[in-house]
Amino acid sequence: MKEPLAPFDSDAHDKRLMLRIADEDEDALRELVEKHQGTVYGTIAKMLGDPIEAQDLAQRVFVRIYRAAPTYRATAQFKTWMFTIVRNLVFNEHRRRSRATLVPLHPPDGESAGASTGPLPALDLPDTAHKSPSEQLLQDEMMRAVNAAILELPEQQRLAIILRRYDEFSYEEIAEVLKTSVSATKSLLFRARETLRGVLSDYMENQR
Amino acid sequence: MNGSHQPTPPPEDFDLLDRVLGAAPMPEPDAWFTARTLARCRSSQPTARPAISWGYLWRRWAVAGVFTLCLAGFGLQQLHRNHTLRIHHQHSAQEAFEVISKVDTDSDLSWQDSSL
Repeated sequence: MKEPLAPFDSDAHDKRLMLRIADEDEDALRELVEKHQGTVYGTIAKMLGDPIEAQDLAQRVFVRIYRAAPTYRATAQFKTWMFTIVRNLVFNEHRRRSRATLVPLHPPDGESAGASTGPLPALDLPDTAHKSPSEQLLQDEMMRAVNAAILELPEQQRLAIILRRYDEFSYEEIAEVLKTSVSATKSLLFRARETLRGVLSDYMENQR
Repeated sequence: MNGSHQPTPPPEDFDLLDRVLGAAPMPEPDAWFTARTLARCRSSQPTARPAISWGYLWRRWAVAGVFTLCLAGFGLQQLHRNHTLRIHHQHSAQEAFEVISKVDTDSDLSWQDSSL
């Protein structure tokens, strides 16, 4: 009788990749980037609402991971360590933006294709092949409203809700990334949800 | 903590909010993200590990230098020893020569005396 396969330990695999990256193994670096680029880029894009800046910051996260590989010590989960880097870069960028007066190079064009999704590009739209035009319109509007509502949250609450809802982090993992307690994390999430519930109440009614 | 005093939202609203939030999925990076990231990692090596580090070079030269000094010291010691031995042999030879010549001189003189 065959023994059941051991469940894949993603964290152990990431740590093994880090050891190989420390030995200048580029295939290991590629594998790590491909594995985590979705969550890293997606989280940063949700946090900043700017896909161009999110690309730059996401690359910088992986550059930091690469440069830290020779001295990396697996004392904690790799995922939470990686997202601590994400948090630091995003919060620094947020503070830099709050000090600077930003003028967009390209003013938003409401008539061009794909720009109706607001701050995020059209390629981020969910599959709409089976939706009628009115459903598509509602979908676009809801997506813009959700992204705008998330961007209005304070940065700690914003990151907490993104990590919880989109990255499916546990309370403990979020607490580790935010360097706070589990109860404080739950409080952050509760307040974020209350705020979002108020802002998005109309859309919640439509979902009933 | 504050969290323990907050009322738990009803499950229905919880699911509804999650459903609404799901209407704005996480954006995906473009197809070139991995390639650009790898290139940026490669070019970000101001502290890249060189093929030969200064520490490695220094250690090599230090070991070679100490070894050379030891060899030189041993060589000098051998030279000094050989030189000392040569001088000692020369002294011994000279002493032997002096002894022999003295013996010869004495024997000459005694012959002369006996002849008188």
